[in-house]
Amino acid sequence: MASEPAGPTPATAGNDEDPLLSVRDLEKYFYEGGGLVDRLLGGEETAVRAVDGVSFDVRQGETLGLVGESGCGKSTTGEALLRLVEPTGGTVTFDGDSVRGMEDLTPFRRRAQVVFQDPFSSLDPRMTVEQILREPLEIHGVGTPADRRDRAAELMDRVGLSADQLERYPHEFSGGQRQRIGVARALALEPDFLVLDEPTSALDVSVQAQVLNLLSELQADLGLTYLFISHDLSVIRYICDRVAVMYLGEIVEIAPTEDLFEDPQHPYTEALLESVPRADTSERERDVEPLAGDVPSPRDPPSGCRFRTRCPSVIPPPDVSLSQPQYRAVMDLRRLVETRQIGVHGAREAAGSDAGDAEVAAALADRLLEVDLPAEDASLVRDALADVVGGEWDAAAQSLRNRYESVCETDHPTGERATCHLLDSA
Amino acid sequence: MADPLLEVRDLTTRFFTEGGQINAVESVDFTVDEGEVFGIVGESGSGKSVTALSLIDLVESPGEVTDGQIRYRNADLAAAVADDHPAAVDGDFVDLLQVPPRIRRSLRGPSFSTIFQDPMSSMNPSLTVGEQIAEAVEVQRRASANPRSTRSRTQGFGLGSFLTGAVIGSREFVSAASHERAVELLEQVGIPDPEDRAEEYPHQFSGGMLQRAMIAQALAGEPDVLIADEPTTALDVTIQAQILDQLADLQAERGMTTLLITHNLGVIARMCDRVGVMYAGEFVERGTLADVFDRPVHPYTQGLIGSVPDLDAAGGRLQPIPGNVPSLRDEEMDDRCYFADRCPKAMEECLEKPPEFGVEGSPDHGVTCYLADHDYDPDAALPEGYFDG
Repeated sequence: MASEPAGPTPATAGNDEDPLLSVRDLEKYFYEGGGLVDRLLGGEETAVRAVDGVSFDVRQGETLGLVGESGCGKSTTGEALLRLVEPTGGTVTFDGDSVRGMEDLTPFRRRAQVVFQDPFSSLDPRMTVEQILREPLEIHGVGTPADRRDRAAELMDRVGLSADQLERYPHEFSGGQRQRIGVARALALEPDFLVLDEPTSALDVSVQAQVLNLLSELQADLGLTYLFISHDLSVIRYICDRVAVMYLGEIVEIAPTEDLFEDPQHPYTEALLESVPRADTSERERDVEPLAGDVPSPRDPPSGCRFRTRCPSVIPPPDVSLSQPQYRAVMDLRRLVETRQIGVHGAREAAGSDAGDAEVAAALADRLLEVDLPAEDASLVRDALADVVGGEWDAAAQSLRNRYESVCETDHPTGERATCHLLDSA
Repeated sequence: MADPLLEVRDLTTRFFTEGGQINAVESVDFTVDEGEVFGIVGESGSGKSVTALSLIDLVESPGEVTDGQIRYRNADLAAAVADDHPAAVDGDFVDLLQVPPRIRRSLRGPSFSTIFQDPMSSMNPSLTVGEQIAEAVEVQRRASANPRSTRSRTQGFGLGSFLTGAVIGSREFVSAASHERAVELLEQVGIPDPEDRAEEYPHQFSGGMLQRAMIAQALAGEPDVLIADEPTTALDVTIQAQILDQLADLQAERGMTTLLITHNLGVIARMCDRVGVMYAGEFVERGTLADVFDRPVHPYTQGLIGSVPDLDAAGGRLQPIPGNVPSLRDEEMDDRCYFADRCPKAMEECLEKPPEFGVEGSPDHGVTCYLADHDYDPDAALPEGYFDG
């Protein structure tokens, strides 16, 4: 593999234990628009880069958290490393063996199990709980029928339910109880490793706390290793030993839980922590500066640092002396120019029929820039907008790029713990 | 203290299903003052959304508001209905449960408007965002001109409306002034480039942007009370922070009275002046934010707060509430404190429904639990496993 590492290299310092699971440059691209009809119509296949070069280790007996917003690729990472979906690149090593090289997945499946988010759709409504719990044992040919029955009863007891309830159907249980059944099913084959994919997101807080405590107990008693996927930062803090933060298909920061929460290094981690409203009476006084904008599409992720389109601290070129809001405003304008999303027509109409290009450009600058710029920059921006009004989009984009291009868009950041150019000099 | 704008007394909403009667909301009392943000917090099935729907007469069959009063202060409305429905009027207050559905419908928009949880399913996918907001503006405009015509085109997908829509472009329904106002509203809720975005369809908006558009739509009628039912639950945290910020700004600018319903204690803490905690269709505790968060008396409130993992400190073990939310089926409900079966301090007297007690020192703090009246008596504790049989 000669490609440069896309994500941070896993923090291996101070760790001499062998990882149970080791993921390197894992990639899962989904292709769309490549069907027969699309090809007949001349459409081109585009890659949705759900997971794009993710690397981390999960050590024996620990809980690694994978946290991020919807669409960041955390669940796909969990599925790809278990080969529930086939990865399109990278390596996964489980206890010394390459998972991607396995012809027969059965022995791996016995040792690596998964608990899904939705306890309603992940249990077959036509099977009794006993059938649900016995099914993995039957598939893997474990024990005699009598053994399996005993094992099912034992599992129920293990997750805080009663063996008397084995004959019941899933709909007779509450959400929290159903999630316990999901955990029991995952434990049936005595696995070493569990992927917990948002296991408490569908539950109410009081029940979530019960399930979290159950998961901690099981880990302590059975020596389990967890990959805990969640969007809920307070749950992650509670249950994880180490945490990886994902954004748009990449890991942007990975660190021991305490370090990550007490001293976040990546601006995205910091923003994420700041965004969560605290259940505390001092919350109203807490000053929150919400992140601007939305997560970009994984079909066409930003160049360089993927977070740069929302980052509150994009690094300007050394010869540009603008405040962060000014620089941000110019960069937003640049994006509009590059994607040709400025309504020149409307601006011309608004300016009146006898207005010249320069006047229209000045009006556009007023409308699109919400901050005042120093004279030199203001005139450069106005000139570029005059090009836009004259239809010279590329020239406008070029002149703005020459002046304002940031290291955050030209270079993909790397780092041991957090991938951010702000940390490069330090 | 500001004047109450809404006084809800004894509100009871039941669902008469084939499987039996469900007591979704049971004798709920609360007051919302003008200009404040009142929060209702509770877990799924606690009745918080049904409470909101009851206020705006949107409880669907087999549900029915069976009892209580919804006293809404509006002098104009009081004057308008005084002749036909004298029983409903008390000074400037009107009891909404005693006026006909036609009048209540006309209140949706100018008096009460709602933001729902899921912006994707609350918008009509086949109309542009601008049209839908302009339509809300238009409906209000026509309603104030002619109170009988309050139908909006988004209400029906029938053959009739399809044919009308095919013949007459939707713009015919909406005046240019309404469209302009829609763009203005989109700008006010922080949508960049509102003129262009107004021409786009809901699927072209991200979740956060669409929720902003829904807020714009809710503001179209300049409502007295904004009801926000889990407004950020479907959104990611960074987007949630944007929307909460936006709501707080609008609230501060317009002094808009807001009823915020959520299961998220953090959202409550960020937004609300006063809070009510619901459990099994009832308010178990209510008071100012500090009363409920810093001095909770009801064991359920305490349990709820103890169940949330702390983001700012590496905590010890969580203290979950054991057991599950009770069934709300009438036949399975005794006349006791509904929390007693999960309560760590259940006593013999809890087998009789507790009244609401005040809490000394906090005039606004009410708790439906005997522990607000006297201390826990271990000798009177219910034996372990009392409710298991």
